[in-house]
Amino acid sequence: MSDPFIQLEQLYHDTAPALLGYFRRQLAVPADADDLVQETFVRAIRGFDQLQQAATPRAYLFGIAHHVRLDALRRRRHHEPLTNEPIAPPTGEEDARLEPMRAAISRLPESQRETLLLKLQQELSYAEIAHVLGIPVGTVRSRLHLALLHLRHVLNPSPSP
Amino acid sequence: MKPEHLESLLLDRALGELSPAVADLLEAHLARDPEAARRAADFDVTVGAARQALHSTPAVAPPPFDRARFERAGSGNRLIGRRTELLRLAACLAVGLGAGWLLRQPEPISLHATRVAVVHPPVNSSTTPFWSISRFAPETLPLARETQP
Repeated sequence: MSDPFIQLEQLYHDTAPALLGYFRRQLAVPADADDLVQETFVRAIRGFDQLQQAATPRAYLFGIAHHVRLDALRRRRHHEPLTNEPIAPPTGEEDARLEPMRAAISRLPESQRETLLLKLQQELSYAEIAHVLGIPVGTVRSRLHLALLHLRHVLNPSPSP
Repeated sequence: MKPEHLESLLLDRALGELSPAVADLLEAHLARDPEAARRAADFDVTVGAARQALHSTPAVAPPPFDRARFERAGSGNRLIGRRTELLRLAACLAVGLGAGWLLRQPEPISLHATRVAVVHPPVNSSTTPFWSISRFAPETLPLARETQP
């Protein structure tokens, strides 16, 4: 059996940037995001057998990250969503729709926003998101549909039915 | 197809969650229905804009892999695992002893019953009064004699 820390290091290089993006999208203080990435991997090494047996280690790590984030929110009692995050300043060429889109995403209910983020930013499947959040696939689907219907209305306020 | 079903399928399509077979059927439907095709394109634009908005965060490098910290966490976990195993064994032992204590027999039960013979004195109807107990319930006679002062 190979060294688990070598496997973990490989997984870290593959997944840590995405996890960092996930935490930075959900928390106000970027320094916290670094710590939470480390905390996610500390918990992963504690349950290394489960990590090895996971169908998709990436989804498994995001499942841990979800709980790490919730624990951090409980500890800190502050929750600053998307609006206070380090977002790149809009450039001249940037699509004019992106700013209202960001604002609309930040106003989504937390459950919908996190589901949308896991889908569109982390490119997880419905089944993987269901595993990460511990909810049925149908709930993932309905959350995403509601979020997209709302965002569609933001982009195009009076679409034909 | 019902509009709400079509809308759900269009959203799944925009999110890339349709199976190839369903996607083919839906594309055939969209080719025949321009209004549905327009709505599908609308959802595609929405998903594209949302994806672009979420990906516009500047890339930041994660902290370097801290092997020493993870090794400490792993070794700590092994110690915790050993301690947990010992605690489980101790708990099983305690439960077993407790169950044994509760189910113990206080003293052996004798399997031989003692047969007791009750001998009633003969009732003489000529000497006993009419309302005498011995006339109606001769089996209670010994008890009645004991309770008499």
